[in-house]
Amino acid sequence: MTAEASPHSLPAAPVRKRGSVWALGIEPLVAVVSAIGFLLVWQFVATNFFTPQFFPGPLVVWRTAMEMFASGELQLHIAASMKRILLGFFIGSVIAIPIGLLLGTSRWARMALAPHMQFFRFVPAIAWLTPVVIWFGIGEVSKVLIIIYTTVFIVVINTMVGVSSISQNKTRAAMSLGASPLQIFLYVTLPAALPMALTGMRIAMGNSFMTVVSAEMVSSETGLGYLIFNARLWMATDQIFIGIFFLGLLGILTDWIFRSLIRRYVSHYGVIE
Amino acid sequence: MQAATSRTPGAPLLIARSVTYSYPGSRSPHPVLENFDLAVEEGEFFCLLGPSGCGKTSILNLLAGFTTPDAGTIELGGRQVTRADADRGVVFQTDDALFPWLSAQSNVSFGLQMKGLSRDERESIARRHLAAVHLEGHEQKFPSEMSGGMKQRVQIARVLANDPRILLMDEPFGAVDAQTRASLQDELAQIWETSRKTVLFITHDISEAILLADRIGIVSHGPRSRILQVIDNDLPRPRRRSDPRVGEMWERINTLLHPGSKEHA
Repeated sequence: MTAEASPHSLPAAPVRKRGSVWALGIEPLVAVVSAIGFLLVWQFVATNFFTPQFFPGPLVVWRTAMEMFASGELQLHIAASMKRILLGFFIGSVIAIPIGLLLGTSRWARMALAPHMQFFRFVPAIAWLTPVVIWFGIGEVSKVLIIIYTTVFIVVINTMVGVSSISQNKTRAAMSLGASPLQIFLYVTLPAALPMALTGMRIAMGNSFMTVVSAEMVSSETGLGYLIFNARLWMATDQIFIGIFFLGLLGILTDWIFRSLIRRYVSHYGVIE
Repeated sequence: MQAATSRTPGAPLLIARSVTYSYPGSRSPHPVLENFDLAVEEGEFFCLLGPSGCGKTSILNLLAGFTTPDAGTIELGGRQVTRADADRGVVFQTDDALFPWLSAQSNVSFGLQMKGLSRDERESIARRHLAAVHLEGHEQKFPSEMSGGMKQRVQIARVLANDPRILLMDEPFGAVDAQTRASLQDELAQIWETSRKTVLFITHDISEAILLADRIGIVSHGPRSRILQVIDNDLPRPRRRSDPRVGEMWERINTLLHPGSKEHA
């Protein structure tokens, strides 16, 4: 992100300060122009070559979105998906980080558990959907469980790598500065592993978006995945596009929030992004 | 052979007795040290000088308590060394020993924080030691914002703030440019003259050893390294690189390190 000045860079030249828009730099401007261009091309192609049922343009989609917004349907689906993603993501991370720390610090735990982690990492959450629904029903529990599953392995493995890649000199320095094993864990291992754990969480967040859609397609009455899948019954392509649009938008938004947090808290590592 | 040339009365502060140590190799263990003896007196600046690959870092790891010898003992102040502790402060060659998530000041206060000192005490001690290595005004900088020389200064301040009985320095200026190295050497000599803290300094640089040390232990080429000879360095301080006596000593030590060759490497 070249657009924002890091707190430690030199003060910006006074010339740049005049217009508030220009102070942001060229990057957002290009992004906005590009997005407008995309919408124009989309509208042109849709209205000139296809019927709205086959390939709706942005104006048609916008109108449908407004209708769904007015009826409250759109908010309902967005809220349902976001709730599942965030709940599963946070519970999954809370479970995964301690396991990752344990695997990173204990050779025995690593030998015993790492093979399981590596194995299940390759089994997508959706493969578990049917047994999970049989065991836990078609309610929210199943969907949140699926998101937890998606989150856990990637966060465990990243945290583990974060711990085991701490340079030996850091723990040695801490030892000869008088730190006890517990103090080394608290004041060296934890902060040193934090960037990798956060990176794992960021990847897990992305995966959660994919998983929630699949889960909602198979067993749900709400959510963006349900919206997309249900719309196919009426060939409501415009509704499908709305679902797709909001998945992308919410994904960008959550990732942006997460990135800002990472940048705020671990900017001094010089390794993030 | 070497041992203490008893410059000061009383038992040496740091003693290694017949230390033997092997690297666990892939097929057979690699013998790094065999019957290695060392005695560092309280308050002296002792340099271990040897070619690369002579096991200097292995010696430091043993003295610091990061590794344990296969045979022999290491004692500090009459007590056997079994593990790393705050009585032996280590300055590492590379800056990955600093904590990048902490500011310079917090890095320097780390040991004090472990001891449970109050925030105010930590801050005043850390500031004083950062000032001693000419880093006043840089207290809130993070390692990623500092040059290599500044980071080594932080390492030195961090160890001094913790007030160990001895400083173990493993080629601390080996990874910085020549200009910075020269000023770091001068600063260290100056700090040592005021603090008179016992220092064991490891280097392969003859000039560095002459500039800093009271005594220089010449370490033989590995495997099975040991100290060949201990040279007294009585040159008056502050020492200048241009002093002709520095050059004479350089020649003498170079001949010891490279017997039979007249090269001026």
